[in-house]
Amino acid sequence: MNRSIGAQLIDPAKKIYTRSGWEIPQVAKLPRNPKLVGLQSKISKQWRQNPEIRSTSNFPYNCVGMVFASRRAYIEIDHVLNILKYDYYKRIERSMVMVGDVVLYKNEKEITHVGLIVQVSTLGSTKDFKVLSKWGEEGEFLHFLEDVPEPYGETTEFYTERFWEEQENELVARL
Amino acid sequence: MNLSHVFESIESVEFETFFAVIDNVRIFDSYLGKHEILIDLIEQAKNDSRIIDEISRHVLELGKDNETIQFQHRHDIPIAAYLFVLRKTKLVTAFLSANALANIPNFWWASKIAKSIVEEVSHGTSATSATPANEPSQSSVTHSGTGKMIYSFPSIKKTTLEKTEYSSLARVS
Repeated sequence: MNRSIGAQLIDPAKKIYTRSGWEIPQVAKLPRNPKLVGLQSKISKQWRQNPEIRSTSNFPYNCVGMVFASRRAYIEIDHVLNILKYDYYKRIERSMVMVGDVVLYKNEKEITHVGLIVQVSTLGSTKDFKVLSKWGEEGEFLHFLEDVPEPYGETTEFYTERFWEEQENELVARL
Repeated sequence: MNLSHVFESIESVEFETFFAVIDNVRIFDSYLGKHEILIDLIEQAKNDSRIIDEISRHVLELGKDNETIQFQHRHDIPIAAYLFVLRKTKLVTAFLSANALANIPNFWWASKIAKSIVEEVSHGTSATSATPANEPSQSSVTHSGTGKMIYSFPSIKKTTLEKTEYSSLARVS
């Protein structure tokens, strides 16, 4: 095994595809200097009281790579809608969200972030969510839905692949 | 304005930590434009060209401070911020600075801001005074996956003033 390759570079030459065969564009992004990552973690811990840092790896994947590619790719955020479409995700209402579903964040119509729902708490008719997501070049955070950095925005949309058959049929019918 | 204090703020871990969470380049650009330190610097630079010169010199110095190309450039985000300021104040200087940094392979955000500069020049929205000689032809930048900026530059016919500026930048590098 060549640890230096595995630890240093994500290899876009190794293609990844959605379920419907769409090739997901990847980018080879270099990891950040571990010294800088360490310094930023200290600042992060001071700023972010509620979100829990799960990991601070400098391995260069992003939120999209975490959710859709098992932390093995850096995928530009611009490709998220295509991934959702070609992986047969369906947009759902907040009331239907379950663990394992995906949340998309928007700031003034720009898609900014994506995360994985890891906990759903229900209090009466209200649902609260805990999300696991990779915050840019920072680490992975476990956080409440609204507890995200300001640039991520306040608008959220929810998607699930649980109805994949329905979505697949719809996509095939359109082709 | 104490420029060295401003530089310290932009190159601080706090500044980088704020921007390090962003994934979307348009949001990155937008938040550069909303940051108080940069708003102030842009305002000051518009009124004093010496500040623009100082920023462009400083950008080149930072660019050379590149311990290892195995990792992302340690000053990637501050350099992106400085290029943003130059883009907002003097596009020609921004273009020349981006050009001077083009061979550094381990940028990420800096290369995206540099790309926006080249695109702005290509569209002819120059911040310099309009002279018929300054008509850039089509330029292009490709962004290799590792962040290296690969330019084919427009054939900008430089005015005498801009030739002087370019020479002074070349002397620094």
